[in-house]
Amino acid sequence: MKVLIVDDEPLIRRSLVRAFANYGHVVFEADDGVKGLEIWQAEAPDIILLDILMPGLTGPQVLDQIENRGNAKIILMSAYAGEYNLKKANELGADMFIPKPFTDIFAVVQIAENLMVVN
Amino acid sequence: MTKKIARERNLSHFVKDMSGVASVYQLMSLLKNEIKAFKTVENPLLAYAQSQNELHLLFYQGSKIIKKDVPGVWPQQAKIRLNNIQDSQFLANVFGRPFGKLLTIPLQLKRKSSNDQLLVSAILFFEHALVGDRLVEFTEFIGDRLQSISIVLDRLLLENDLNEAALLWEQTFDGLQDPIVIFDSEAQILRANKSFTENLQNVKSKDLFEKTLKVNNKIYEIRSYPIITGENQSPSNIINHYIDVTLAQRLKKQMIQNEKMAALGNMAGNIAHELNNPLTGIRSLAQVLIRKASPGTDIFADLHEVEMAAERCQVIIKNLLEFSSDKLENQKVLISINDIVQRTLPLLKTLIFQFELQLKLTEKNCFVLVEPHLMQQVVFNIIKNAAQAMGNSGVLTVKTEVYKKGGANEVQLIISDTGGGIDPSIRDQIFDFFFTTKSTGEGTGLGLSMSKNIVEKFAGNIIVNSELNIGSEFIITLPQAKAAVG
Repeated sequence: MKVLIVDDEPLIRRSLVRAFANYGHVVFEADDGVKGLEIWQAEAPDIILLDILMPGLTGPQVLDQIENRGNAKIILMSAYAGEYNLKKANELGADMFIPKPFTDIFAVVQIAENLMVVN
Repeated sequence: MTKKIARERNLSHFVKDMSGVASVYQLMSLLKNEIKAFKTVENPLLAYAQSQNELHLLFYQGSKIIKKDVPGVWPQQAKIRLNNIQDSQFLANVFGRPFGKLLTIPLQLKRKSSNDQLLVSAILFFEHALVGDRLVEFTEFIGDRLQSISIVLDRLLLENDLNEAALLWEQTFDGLQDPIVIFDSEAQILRANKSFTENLQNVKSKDLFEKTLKVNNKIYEIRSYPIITGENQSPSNIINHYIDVTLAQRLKKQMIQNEKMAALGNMAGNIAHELNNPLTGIRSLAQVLIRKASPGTDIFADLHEVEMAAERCQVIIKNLLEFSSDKLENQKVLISINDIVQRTLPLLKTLIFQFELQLKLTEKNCFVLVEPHLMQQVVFNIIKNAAQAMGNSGVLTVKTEVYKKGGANEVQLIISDTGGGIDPSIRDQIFDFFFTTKSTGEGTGLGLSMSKNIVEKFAGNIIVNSELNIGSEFIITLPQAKAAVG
């Protein structure tokens, strides 16, 4: 599947890219929301992992501007698990919420794959 | 002529005797003796003013002198009178019997009572059956002695006032909680109050003039007040006030400590957030790389180490974040301390299975208002420490109890072990941030400091008693919360 990772933290992006690529997925990455939206339009990924707190456009703002979403899944990620949770993510239009920091990067891949299977 | 001389002699005897009188009772008995020659005169009655509406009455009951405080209107005429109806009625009211013939002799005292409007401050009453010359003789006899009686009564009442004032002063002086001393100009102690005698008696005299004084774990701030009485400007006395600032200093220290903790917590929170991302990257990338490395190789083992190290950092940061977060504080719920213990023990199974566990949970109401997870963390930390202190075997006691303190109840959780105890030299430090005796990887030095902070967040406190080679006990005290009934 095609995976888009939008996060301003290079190490998070890098590890996610590696983990997904490890499982044979095609991975795109963007370090801010605007670039993320550009890739979304150009590549139409199956799933987006979207950080909530980013300079420029925030995750929820990016989510808001996504058009023609189709069956694409969106996972919101945040280190502020106190303020965000699955319920809140669902309200914002996302399919899943993953709190940071990750304890197991492959668990993240697993969650993303499961989301696609459910469909 | 001889009669006159005898009269003068008797009078001077009386005056002399009177001058030695030390109380109104003595005055009464002297007077009684003096008038013995007048057979039909009853024992004297003496009244003196307390206020316009109250007076003291001294009279004989048998051979005993009785003092009675009498409310009522005070007979105010200033002249000597005989068989005055008002006076008779006044006494009849007091004694509940009719009075016969009555000689009333007002005494003019110099002493002003608190009420200056009184015309008469004292009166002598004599009930008698005298007639004719004998009555005149008695009136003259008393008249001769009137001045002496007045002077003595004046003196006695004044002394009484002074004694009362002195007593009041002394009680006030001793009643003051701080030590106070009055020195003379040579720095010798003239007077010291009770608190001084109790607390600073054995302090070297030169230390009594320092700025501060430390005695028996108490800290005093010294204030000196010179007293200048004479014309010349040098003080005749110095009053030293030793202000007990022990509590104030302790509170100040605690306040500074609290502020430091708050600042540290804040900073720790910020740092933790900043570290989280790179740390997650390190751990995640290590996890990715481990998958690519072949098991058994050095690279595989090294990556594993990197991942473990990153995990450890994450745990520390998680603790720090929880610790510095204010949000959890607002999630206090009513829960029994027994419940907290019961919920925590299963998490410790693998740590404490080799010890003998003595669980003594109270059956009284031991509800407290806390955030359960934080409280569990405290119990977890302390039991984990206890387990680590005991090594392979020992007795772990977890006890809950409810105590009455003041008007309120306190809930106590006591966790004790039979481990090696805490060295006295570090006992003060165990609650400090990042203080640990454990080797790297076993402890972060945050457990106890966070536990203390958590307990204090819930208005409680935590203390430790420890004896080397015998064991330690941690006592957590929390205010009891009213459990909802039903």
